[in-house]
Amino acid sequence: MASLDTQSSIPSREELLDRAREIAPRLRERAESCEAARMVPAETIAEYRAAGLIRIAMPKRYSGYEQGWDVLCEISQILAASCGSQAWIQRICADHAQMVSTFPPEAQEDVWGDDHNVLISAAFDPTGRARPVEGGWIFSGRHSFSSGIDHCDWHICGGFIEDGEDFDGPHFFLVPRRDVTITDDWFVMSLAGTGSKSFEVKNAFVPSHRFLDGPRARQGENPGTKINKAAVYRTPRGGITSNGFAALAVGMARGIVEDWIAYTRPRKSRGISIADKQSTQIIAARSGAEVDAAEALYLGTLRDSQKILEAGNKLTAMQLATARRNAAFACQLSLKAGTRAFNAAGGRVLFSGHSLERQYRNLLGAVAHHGMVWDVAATTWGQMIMEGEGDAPASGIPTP
Amino acid sequence: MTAEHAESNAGPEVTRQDIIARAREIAPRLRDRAAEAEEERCVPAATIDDYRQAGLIRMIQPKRYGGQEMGWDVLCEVTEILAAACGSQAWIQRICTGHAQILATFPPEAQEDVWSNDHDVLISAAFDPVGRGQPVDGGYIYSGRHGFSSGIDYCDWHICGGFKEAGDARDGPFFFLLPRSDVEIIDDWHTMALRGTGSKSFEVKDAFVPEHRTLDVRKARDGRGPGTVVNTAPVYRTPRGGITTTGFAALTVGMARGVLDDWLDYTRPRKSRGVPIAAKESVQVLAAQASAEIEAAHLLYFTIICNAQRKLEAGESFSELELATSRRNVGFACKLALEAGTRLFNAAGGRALFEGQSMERQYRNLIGAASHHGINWETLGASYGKIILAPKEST
Repeated sequence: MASLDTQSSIPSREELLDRAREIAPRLRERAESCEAARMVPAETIAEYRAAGLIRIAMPKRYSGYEQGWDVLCEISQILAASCGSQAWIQRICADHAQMVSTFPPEAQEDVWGDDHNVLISAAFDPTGRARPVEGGWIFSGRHSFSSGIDHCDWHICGGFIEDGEDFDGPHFFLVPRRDVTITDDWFVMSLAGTGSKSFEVKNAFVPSHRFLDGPRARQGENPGTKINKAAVYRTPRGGITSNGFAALAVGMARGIVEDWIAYTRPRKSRGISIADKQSTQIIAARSGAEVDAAEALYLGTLRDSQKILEAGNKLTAMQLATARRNAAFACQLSLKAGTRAFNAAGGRVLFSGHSLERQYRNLLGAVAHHGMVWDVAATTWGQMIMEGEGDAPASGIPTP
Repeated sequence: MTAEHAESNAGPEVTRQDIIARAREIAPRLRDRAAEAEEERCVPAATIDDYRQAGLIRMIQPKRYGGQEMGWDVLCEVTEILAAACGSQAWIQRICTGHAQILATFPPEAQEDVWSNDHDVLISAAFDPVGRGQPVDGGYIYSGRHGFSSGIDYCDWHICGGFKEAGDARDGPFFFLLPRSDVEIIDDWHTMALRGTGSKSFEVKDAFVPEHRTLDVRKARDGRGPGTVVNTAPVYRTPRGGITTTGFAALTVGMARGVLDDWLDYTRPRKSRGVPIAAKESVQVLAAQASAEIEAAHLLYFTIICNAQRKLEAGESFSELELATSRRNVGFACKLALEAGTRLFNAAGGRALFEGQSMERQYRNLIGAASHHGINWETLGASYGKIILAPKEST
């Protein structure tokens, strides 16, 4: 248990948001070098650590703050407005820290026992295979899209348990860096700075405590809650945690709209002020309103979910599907807002190296994330509502 | 809501949960009376009784006059619930409650004129400043022909928009408060939408309005009406126009919810040439899109209110940009709600066109609500855009 002393040093939501706002301008300055290096600069990681931005949902025992997912999302959104790639790493590393906190206590001790600053990368697509042996599994897998892996000492891998004919999963397996070979294949048109490289694990032994049951985690049930009692550790994996992607997309769109406004204010075309045109003014309003709507939608729905979890209740399948739908819809609104502003910026922003073009490319990549695909989220929800599995959602809580 | 300052006239304290539960209880009755309201071009008297008994029009009235001094957020939640059942009847709850809030910002004597004998008195309004008040000793001689005074048949007092005019000098706009005896109602409310609101025109001819029955609209826009001296709850400092228009978003979003509810009930068992419509993926995505639009619209306008209330409670004021952003978001929420309703109605097929069904009535009501001049997207969008795109030094 945390001592009183530790508890009193827990920063408030407002304090954490201020820290993120303070760091944001430096992310902007490093955005170009981050993209060129295809990984987040070490200074940025150091700043995240110093500000505690990756410990938002870590247990107090390990110097974490045990804050809600909404706070994590608000911070990601602030950072993403400056640089989508660097924000991505804050968001996913903070997310994975929460996830390790849902593993059995021994696994948490393996990762953070000596160093509370250890970072964790992941690759959830269940391509790995675990063969049961005495005390655990022999695990092999080739995994992709492991954002920030260069800075991480542990890795969460998705996979199935394969026992002869039996196939069970998908589950999550935690492996240390020494069991992992990184493949530098991250050459992409978007989010290049996330350094989301592939990695391979070959016949590594994974002890039984470095395992998380996937289907149960998706319901918010996990062995970590035995010691980590805060509601954030009962957050259903996927359905609710993926709101972090909406936060990134909304943040990037907000950054694009703000940058576009600053770019457009003094801009002239053939001597005529662009900003004086009513059509431009309505573009500013429409994109701004779409971003506000996107934020209100995913955050309001997320806070509704948190309220249910804090009351000790579980989310229904319909509530999970609605949260997923709203996160995906927030991404759609963000993409519309960003595209409208970018299309109205003219040819000069097409040149490589312009912050608007980089952030717009980053937004395209964020919205293409498989967890945020609108048509999938929409048909899942639509089928449930049509089959009468619940009523349309009635309300939301936009306030923190 | 704080109870500390409840005075002797205040009824028993009512919580947000209470009042929302009452709205939910009344809603099915509004649905039952929707056809009658439309046919009569007036809200049924039974509905006004229901509202009075449940205290749904006294939510923001001062406690001194039997009100609850609740926030704009609770008003909008209640309105949204009622509007999902019947847009027209909800409209009257929303605007009569809003007008009680305006009256509470008038000078205290005007409040006394209206509510001293009867806390249930209702007020209609017509804000468009078409009236003229000529200064005379102790007040004004007022004349005006006003349109769109929703619910006027049930109201004993009327707030009229106009200017004070002395010779060539014109000052305003102001709100003038007039009793029913000075007003002649003109029954011209024959419309394709929101017929049940009974938003008839009225005329005032050379009526005397004492000084204390006028309110400077510029002060009301700033949340500094003279009534705020006696009514100190933050809700009375709500800037008129910037924040209060969220009430129209509540109506519009509520009606879109009503269309969605009707559409789901209608579509679930529906078959086209023997094939179930609800099993089509395109229909499932359509349901998701419309519902997500409505939820986004709700949370967008509701966020404005929550932020505004925090600022009002902290005694902070609103910048021009903040108010323009609020209005923009209200306009956008209404646009999203209309898009959702249109998407659903268009996918309901030809049978939904026949008159007398809840869905077609609610969709027509939604069209009318979204046409309200206070939430016109292009106007609000352009006025926000002009501020945000102006060179930094001038904003």
